[in-house]
Amino acid sequence: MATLEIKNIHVSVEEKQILKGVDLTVRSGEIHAIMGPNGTGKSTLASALMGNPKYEVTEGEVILDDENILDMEVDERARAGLFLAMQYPAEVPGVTNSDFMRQAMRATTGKDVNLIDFAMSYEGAIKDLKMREDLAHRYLNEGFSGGERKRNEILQLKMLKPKFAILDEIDSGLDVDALRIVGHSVSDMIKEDQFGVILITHYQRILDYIKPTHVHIMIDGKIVLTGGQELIAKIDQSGYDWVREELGIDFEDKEANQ
Amino acid sequence: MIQLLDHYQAWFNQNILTVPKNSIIETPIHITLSENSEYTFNVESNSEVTLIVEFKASLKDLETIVLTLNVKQNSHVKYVLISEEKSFKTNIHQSIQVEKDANLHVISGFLSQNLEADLKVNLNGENARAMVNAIVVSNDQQQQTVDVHMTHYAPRSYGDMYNVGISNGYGRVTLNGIEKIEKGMKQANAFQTLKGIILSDFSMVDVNPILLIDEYDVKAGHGATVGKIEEQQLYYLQSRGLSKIDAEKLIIKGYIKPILDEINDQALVDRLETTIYERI
Repeated sequence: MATLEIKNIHVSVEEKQILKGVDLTVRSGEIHAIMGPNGTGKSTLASALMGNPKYEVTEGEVILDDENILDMEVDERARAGLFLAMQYPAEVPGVTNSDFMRQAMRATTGKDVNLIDFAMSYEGAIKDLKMREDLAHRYLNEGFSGGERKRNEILQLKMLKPKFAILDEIDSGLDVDALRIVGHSVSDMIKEDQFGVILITHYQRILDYIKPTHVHIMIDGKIVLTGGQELIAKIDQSGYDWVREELGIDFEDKEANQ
Repeated sequence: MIQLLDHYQAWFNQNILTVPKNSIIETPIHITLSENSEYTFNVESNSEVTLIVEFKASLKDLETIVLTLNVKQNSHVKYVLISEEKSFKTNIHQSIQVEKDANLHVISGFLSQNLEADLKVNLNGENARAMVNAIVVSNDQQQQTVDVHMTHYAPRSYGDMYNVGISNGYGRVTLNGIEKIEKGMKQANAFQTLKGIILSDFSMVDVNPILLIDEYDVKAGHGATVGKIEEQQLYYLQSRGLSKIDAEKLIIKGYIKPILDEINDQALVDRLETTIYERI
C-alpha cells in the first residue's frame, strides 16, 4: 500500500499564481477524479507533481511514502513510482517507441529487460490498445494524431506499472471508440495492478469507464468540494454554476468566456 | 599509403583505386589511409559498391588529404569517410564527380579534433543523384568547419544534404551548405537541411545554408536550425525515468542514428557511437 500526500501546494507559472493551496491524499487502488471548468489549475497540478520545469512550486509539499518528491528531479520522481499521462506529450524524432520504452523500463525497474520478453509484452499491449502494428518502430510521437498520442501515453502506463498515475485529460482528442478502448484498458489496469490514480477531466464521458472512488471539484486553484460519484451526475446536469452558488464562491468560468 | 584487402589489390595502382565496370560488390571495401597524400577512387560504369574510407592520424600537427571520387555512368556508390579522433588537425579536400544516371550516397563522420573539410560534388550527367550526410562532433576547444558544395551541371539532377553539427564544452562547429543550379538545368532538385545542437553555454554552432539558383524550372528547399535540446523533450523522457544525461544522449542519437544506420559495418558504427557519446 502506497500513499501520495499533497499538502497545501501553491504553484506559479511565469510568476502568475495558479494553484493556491491544494490538499489531496491518494492511496493505492483509489481513483480520484479532479473536475472543474477550464483554466482553474487542474493540469497545473498534474505538471507540478511530475516536475515540469515551466511550473514553480512556491509552497507546500508532496509526500510519496515518506519522501518529499518536490526535492527530486523529474526522473527521480518517475523512478519513485510517479507517472504522468501528458496532455501534450513531446515528439522525439529519430527515437523509436520501442527503444525509448525499453530504456524507460530499465530505468524504472533498475534491471535489464530481456529483449524477447519485452517485445512480447509490448506487442501484446499495442494490440490491447488497438494501435498500429508498426508502432514499435515508429519514432516517438512523431506524426502521431492527437488520439494516437493519448493512446501511446496509456501504452507507456501499461508497460511501466507505476505506483501512482496522473492522467491529464486523456479523453480530449479521442473519438467515441478510442475513448471506450482507453477507458476499459485503464480500468482493467487499475483492477490488476492496484495503483492509485488522479484523473483530470472536464468531461464526464471518461468516467463512464473509469469509476472514481473520490470526486473533487477544483475552482480557481483550490479544491472546493469533495464527494463521490453523485457529484458527477450533478455536474452533468447543471454544470459548475451551482457550486459557486452553494459555496458562495465568485469565480470566472474561462470556458464560457472563450 | 592505402591498405586494403588482398582480394582487391589488383584494382589498386599507385594512389588510385579503380573498380572495373559491371562489378557488383556486395561487401564493403575498406580502405585505410594513413599519410598526407592524394588518393583517387574510380568507379567505372554500371557498378555497385560501398567504399569505407578511414583516415587514421599519425598525430602530426597538421595533416592534409586530398581525395577524388569519380562515379561513372549508371553506377551506385555508397561512400563512407571517417576522419579519426586521434588526429589533432586535419584538412580534407574532396571532390566528387557524378555522371549520368549514377547514384551516390556520401556519409561522413568528422571526428578529428580540429578540422577543415570541404566536399565538392558535381552532378555532371542527366539524372545524376547525390545524397550527402555529414556528422561533426566537437568538444573542449575543438574547432571544426565543414563546407559542402553541390553543383548541378545537368538537367534532372538531384542533390540533397542532411548535415548535423553537435558542439559541447568550448567547441565550435561551422556547417556551410552551398547548392548551385546552373542556368538551363531544368527540373533539377536541390535540397538541404543543416542542424546545429549546442550542449553547453560556451559552445557554438554556426550554420549557413545557401542556395544559388539560375533556372526557373527546378525544385529546391533548405532549412537550418541551431539550438539547445528542447526542454520539453528532456522533460518528457525524464518523466519516464531516464536520467538527464541518458535523455540527452537518446535525443542526440535520434539526430544521428538515421545517418549511422546507413553504414553497413556494425563494428565501425559502434566505434563511432562510442566516440560521439564521449564528447557529449
